[in-house]
Amino acid sequence: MVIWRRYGGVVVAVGALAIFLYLFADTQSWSTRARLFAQVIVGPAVLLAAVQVVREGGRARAAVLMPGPPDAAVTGAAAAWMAAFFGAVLVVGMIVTIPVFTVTYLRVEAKLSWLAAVVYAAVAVAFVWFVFGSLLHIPFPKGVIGFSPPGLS
Amino acid sequence: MLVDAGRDQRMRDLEQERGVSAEQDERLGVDAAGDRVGGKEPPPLAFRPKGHTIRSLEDSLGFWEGTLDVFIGSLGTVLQWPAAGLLVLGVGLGFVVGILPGLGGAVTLALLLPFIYGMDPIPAFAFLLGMHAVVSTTGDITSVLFGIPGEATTVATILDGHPMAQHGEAGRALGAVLASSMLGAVVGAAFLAISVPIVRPLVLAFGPPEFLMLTVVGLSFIVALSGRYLVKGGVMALLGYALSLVGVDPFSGTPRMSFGLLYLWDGLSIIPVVLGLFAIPEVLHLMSTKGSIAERSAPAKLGGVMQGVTDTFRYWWLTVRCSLIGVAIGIIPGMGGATAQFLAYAHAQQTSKHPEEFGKGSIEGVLAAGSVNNSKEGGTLIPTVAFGVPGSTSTAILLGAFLILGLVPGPEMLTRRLDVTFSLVWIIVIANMIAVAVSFLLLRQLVAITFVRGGLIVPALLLLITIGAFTTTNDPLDIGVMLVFGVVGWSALRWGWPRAPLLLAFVLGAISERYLFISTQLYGLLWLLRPGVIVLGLVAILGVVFAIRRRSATGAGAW
Repeated sequence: MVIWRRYGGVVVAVGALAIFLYLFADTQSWSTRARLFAQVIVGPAVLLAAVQVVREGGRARAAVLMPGPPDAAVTGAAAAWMAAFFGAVLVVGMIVTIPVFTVTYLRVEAKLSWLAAVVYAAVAVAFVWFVFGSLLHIPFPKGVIGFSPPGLS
Repeated sequence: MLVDAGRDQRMRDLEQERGVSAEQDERLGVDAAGDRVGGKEPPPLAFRPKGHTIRSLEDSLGFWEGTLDVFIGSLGTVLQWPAAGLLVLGVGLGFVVGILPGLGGAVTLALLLPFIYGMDPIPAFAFLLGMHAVVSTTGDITSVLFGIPGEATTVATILDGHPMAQHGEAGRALGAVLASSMLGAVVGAAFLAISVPIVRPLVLAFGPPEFLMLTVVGLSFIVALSGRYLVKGGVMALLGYALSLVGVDPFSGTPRMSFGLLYLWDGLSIIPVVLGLFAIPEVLHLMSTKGSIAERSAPAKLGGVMQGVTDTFRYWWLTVRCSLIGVAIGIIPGMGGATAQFLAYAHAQQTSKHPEEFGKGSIEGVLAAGSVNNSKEGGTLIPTVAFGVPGSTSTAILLGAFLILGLVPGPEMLTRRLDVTFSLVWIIVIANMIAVAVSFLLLRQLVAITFVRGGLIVPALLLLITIGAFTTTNDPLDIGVMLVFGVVGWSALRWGWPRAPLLLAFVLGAISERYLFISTQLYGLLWLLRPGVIVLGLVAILGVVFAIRRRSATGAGAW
């Protein structure tokens, strides 16, 4: 983690510089009209990003550490929960993910009772069904192998 | 006699239908059908040139008196059934839509549009505009309490409103943001009422080069929005510009930075970008800390609400100035509320005696963001009503409502259907009064949410931001874009890169590019010599110089 706190800023600055360099390379294949605006911004963008890379590099060499998260393991666990939620939405669909994730998360992380977690999940599904499905007719992500019940498709 | 009686009956029907009496028509210089009375010149819609006669002065007085009658009469129409009932229904819908992240006012307007078929104009607008006018007000509540923007136009409220909630001052922040929203709505509506005839020649004098320079003036605020690190702010702004290029170029059809994905041909939508930049890092933080949103324990009594209201009036001049910024940006077609909020916020920071408090829970930052996003509603309606040029996506949909209802935006809205124009003013004011009153009634319950354990509200927040992102184009890639920008937002927060300049430039990018292309096509490089361009260029340069000098004077930070 110390490495990230020391070199993270450099990585972000290099990432920004890489995007601008890609933009510069990509504009070469655009029509004159399409690259007019890009040409105005790409020069200053590369220059500023390069300046920031040098500054961040200097900071890293001087071993100046950026403040770290309170607990890297906890942040990692939170990110894993989030990745699990969005992964499930994209694979099995929203309407399956809501109750499963809600009950699991509330049981494991919030230490809620089974009854309370199940009621919470049921209310969440009913809310989604009524407001977004029945009232506003907004479709939901079905997921690669998931499904969407009638009224929510 | 029968013919006369029939004509009288028809006149009465027309009066009833339009809510304008024959006496008022006479003062306005139109007959009951709304056409000019034979040979009589219409009354002046703007100030008369020098040298007017006593007769024309009398005409002017009569015109303004008649206008006032219509103005008051339209209030009565809005308060009558069914308009009043539909207004309450619309406000109720807007309240919910505003609180739910991602579900925007424009989307809901589009969904509700079919319901107005067969309605009279004023009840129809009471329903649609009543809903739309309050989404920013209640969107501010979500921004303050959860750090998640209820609307794309309420992102700036997060910057100081959420830190206040984290410090246990959610009541004060909400009191301030609601009171300033109300004041902003009144300023915007008042400006709409008085300015339509006046602003017309001004807006028509602006061409694409001047509109382009207005976006440059907007960019000069990036210095203030960059906070401590100017270079990082500049890089983020240019990144925002680069991201605005994604998609098929509308003029040449060239796909730009679309990586072969058809999804990206339409460009990046603002909702997934905003949710990713601001909501994802906040939810991740909430999941990590396992505490409540408010880092302090719940107070026995909800305090600070009245202090927030008092703050609004203590900083009344700031609130009015930011409201006027909202109106001005609203008038400019295409600029919209996503831009206005940051310009007002940056203006507040630039003029504050304590700029170092911005981003950490400054009440001035809350007031600026709160006032601007409601006042812009009046501003965006000005070009819509006066020229039929919508100032934003939402007003473009409202323009559709005009056509569905058989109304033609333009001069007709200042003569024949002046009652409808004034009813829009009243709807904005009354809708916000209702929304603010209901919000104050529910404030204790709303603030209590910030003291609930974070783990309990995380599933609900994840659910809402997912739906919010997905409803943008109903493509799973909307969620993917949100996650990518979630990583960007988290990294920016973690390593001290300001996010506001990226968002401002992203919004302004497409507008700037469009006006740059039109300007160069029309004038070559000669557009740079237009007087309006030179003046606005000087304003932008002075803005940057002023902001840099203030940074140096206050020791606001490094480069």
